[in-house]
Amino acid sequence: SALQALKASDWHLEAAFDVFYSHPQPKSNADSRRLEELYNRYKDKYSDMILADGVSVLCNDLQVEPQDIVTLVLSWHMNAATACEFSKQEFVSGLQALGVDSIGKLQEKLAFMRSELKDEQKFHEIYNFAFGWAKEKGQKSLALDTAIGMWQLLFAEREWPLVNHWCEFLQDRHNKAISKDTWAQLLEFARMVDPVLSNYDAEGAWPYLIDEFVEYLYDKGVVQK
Amino acid sequence: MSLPSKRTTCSSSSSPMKKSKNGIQQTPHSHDDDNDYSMEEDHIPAAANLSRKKATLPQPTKKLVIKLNKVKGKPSLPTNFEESTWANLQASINAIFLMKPVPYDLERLYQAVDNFCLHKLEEKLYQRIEKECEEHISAALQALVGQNTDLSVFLSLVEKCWQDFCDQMLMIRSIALTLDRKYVIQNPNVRSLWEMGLQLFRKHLSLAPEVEHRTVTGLLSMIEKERLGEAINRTLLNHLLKMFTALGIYVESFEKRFLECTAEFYAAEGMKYVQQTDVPEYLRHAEGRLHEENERCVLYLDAGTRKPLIATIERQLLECHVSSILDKGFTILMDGRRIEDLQRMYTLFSRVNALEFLRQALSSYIRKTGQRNVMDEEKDKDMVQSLLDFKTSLDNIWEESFCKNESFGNTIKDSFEHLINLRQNRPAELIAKFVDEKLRAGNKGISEEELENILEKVLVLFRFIQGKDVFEAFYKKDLAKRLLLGKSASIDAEKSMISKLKNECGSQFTNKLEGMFKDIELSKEINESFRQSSQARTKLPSGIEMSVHVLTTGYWPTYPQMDAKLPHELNVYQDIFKEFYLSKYNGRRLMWQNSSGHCVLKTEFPKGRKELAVSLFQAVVLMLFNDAQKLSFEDIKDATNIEEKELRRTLQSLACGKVRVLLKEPKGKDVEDGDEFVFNDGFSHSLYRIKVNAIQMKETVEENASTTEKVFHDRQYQIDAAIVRIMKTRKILSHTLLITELFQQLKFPIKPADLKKRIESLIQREYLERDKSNPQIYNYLA
Repeated sequence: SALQALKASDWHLEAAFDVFYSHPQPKSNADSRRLEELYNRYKDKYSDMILADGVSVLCNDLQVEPQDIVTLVLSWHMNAATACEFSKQEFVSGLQALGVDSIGKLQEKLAFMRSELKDEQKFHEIYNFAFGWAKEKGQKSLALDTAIGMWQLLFAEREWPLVNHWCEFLQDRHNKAISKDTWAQLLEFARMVDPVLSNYDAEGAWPYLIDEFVEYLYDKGVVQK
Repeated sequence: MSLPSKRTTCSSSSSPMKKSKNGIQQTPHSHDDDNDYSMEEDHIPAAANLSRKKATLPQPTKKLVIKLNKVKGKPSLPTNFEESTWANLQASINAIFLMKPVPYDLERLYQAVDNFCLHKLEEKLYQRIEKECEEHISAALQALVGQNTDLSVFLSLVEKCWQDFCDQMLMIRSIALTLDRKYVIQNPNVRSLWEMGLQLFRKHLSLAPEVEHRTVTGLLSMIEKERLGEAINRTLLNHLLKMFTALGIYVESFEKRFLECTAEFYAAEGMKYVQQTDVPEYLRHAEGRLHEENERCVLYLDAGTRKPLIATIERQLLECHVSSILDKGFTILMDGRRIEDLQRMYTLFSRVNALEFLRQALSSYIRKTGQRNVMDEEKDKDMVQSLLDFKTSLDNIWEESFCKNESFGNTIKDSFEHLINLRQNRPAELIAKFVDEKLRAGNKGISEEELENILEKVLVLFRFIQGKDVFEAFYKKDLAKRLLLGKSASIDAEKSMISKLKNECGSQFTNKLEGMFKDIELSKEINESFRQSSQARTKLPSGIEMSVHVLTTGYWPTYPQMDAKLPHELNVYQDIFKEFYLSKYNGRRLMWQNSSGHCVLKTEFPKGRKELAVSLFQAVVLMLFNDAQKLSFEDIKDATNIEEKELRRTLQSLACGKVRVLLKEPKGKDVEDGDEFVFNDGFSHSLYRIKVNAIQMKETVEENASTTEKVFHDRQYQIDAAIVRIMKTRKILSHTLLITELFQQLKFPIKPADLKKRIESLIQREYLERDKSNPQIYNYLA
């Protein structure tokens, strides 16, 4: 429900608090004591967080690969700030919102989570969430390699025929980190502009990287003018 | 022969006769009317005499006439009057047409007609005369049918026939003038006798189409002969065409065919000549032809033909060939600066509304020609000069050949603007350098006036530049060097250039440049008061003199800070000056820009004493040789602490240039690690004072790159500032509108992609965000 509050207030934390506390919390069927135990199972020895090791144990328990996109969906549910890390608050309230208090129940939820990717609206949210989640702490942009990895992962779920050209183009011509704006606009581009670019408007507000990508597609003859 | 003159003769001869008529009526012992008429022939002379006497008193006698009539009752005509009198008239008309002497006295004939009128028989008489004329005219024209003679002979026959007709008709009209005067005038439907004659002539000419046709053909062939250069009988032509005009069939029968023939003739000629002759020759020919045809209109064609005729020729000789003339000859004429031919082209083209094509040709000529100058990097050195020359010659052509046509003037401007901005930034830089070269000292052979002239012209080019900031940056850098190194040819010229730039771009543009001049002047005062200060008088090391330029940061270009271990005396000097300056201007900070310093070193060479004008770095290096004979590159580097690249340049200028104060071992053009230097004992030079510091005036590659880069950096800030400014006022704005506003505000050339990058950077820095519902719209984030 914290998550719902956040979504309802468009991810503004302050506003989300208001929403969260002004609505009576729905009765969770997740037992907080069991959640506490579950958290402690993965918690890092030295800090009050679940770190990479804990995450890999968790993945192991859930019998998913750490690179599985479902971990992204799970992180999205937990509203995790960074990849491969969960704070206690994120972990506990995330599971509470999902209404699970055991690995078994969580595992049962995985299929549902995968199906969420097929939902246009949720995919959009998960996609935008992924940027902040995947980037290095303290950085404004997303490292190119990570970005490419994420795109390949995400667009495996949602077909976009130009994704490989896009990644090639970035490695060939750009080779720099990706800004949040470019990240967000790329999904718009993939959604709005058809693969033969018939409705692409060069005068539009597309980020310059996308304009250059279009040029690249024409140059390479991938798309005919 | 002319009709009006005939008419006047007639009327003058008629006036006495008219009076004589009055006289008859007034005679006191007047006979009966029948008597009067039967006696007519005999009495006329007497009556005429009478009339002369009585004519002076026409008014009072008028009443008398009325009385007489009342008394006498109505007179009646003799029965044979009509037939007999007509017989006389008919015989006379016959005679006139057959060109025989008229059998009766003309005056009597006139009287007879007059009498017809008096007795209301005029209508019949008119018809009789008409019938009589028709027979003769028909016969005359029929005589022309089937004349298989030569065309020119035929034409003279026609002319003769027409001339005769005119003479005859006028004669008849003179006799029957009363008909015209009394009968015709009262009956609007009846033609005057002359008109009637023409109408009959016209009718019978149309009944003999062969005659008309042959005449026209003959005329056309004569004109064509004349066009081909043969002499022809112009009078004949003139008369015949006047005939057509008089008959009212000029347009229908002649002009139409004439214009067709003309079009055909000139179409063929145009095609042929355009291919055979060169353009100037062709234009001259066309001009000549237009003149000839104009003449033709004056000499024998009807005035109304001029317009369609000239239009036909313009169309066939010019309009149809505009593009081929331009393609074939325009570039050659422009390249050859052929003012006269170009002017001819302009005048001729303006007649056929083809100036727009000429203008386009001019535009593409300028672009094409100029492009060769602008785009060729090897010609960079001469680019500005060649553009100036090009512009001068274009302006000349514009004034002399194109009548200072406004749209042509604009075309020249637009094309030049396009041209100069073909290559970004570089032309602006070259113009700045061109000005530098002109304003630099040592540019002998140019008077102040000439210099002023050149600057004025350069300014025209400057006006076209879109990236004025590039110009400013390079201009400023060069100006700084001129001022600091004392290389400016004339401060007046410098200031005049600044004021020109100020006029052009406003004070904001020249603010900093003017600040530089102010600094220089202030520095002079500071130096003066320093010299008189107690610090200077007591503490300064002896043997050296120093003058300091105090430069305001921001006005001047930024120089990279370059350190060097200065000789002790200079350090002391600097410190004392600093102390003095800071005591005078509290709170300021002084930084020494050693790279811009220059010195004069008094040097004792074995072969004589010399003064060397050197840069400060050169001086620092040379001073080392006061205490050493031989120093390696590394020694010098350690001792001076000058940055390595700069030091190599400095040493190169001392040991590898024209003036070699040092000798390098091993010899070579470049300074390598481990090279050793010795003082050149054998140095000799014809001059006492020698400049070795040309190196300082010269622009290094790094300097150039950093200047350019700085401009680009500034531009980025300007774009950012503009975006924020716009968004701050608008709060929410679509991408397209933002871009449009930016293009309006920003004064330098810029690509939309650059703007996008700046917008994205501002999004990243959270000055802006994309609207959540529409990514084409930006919101300003306060």
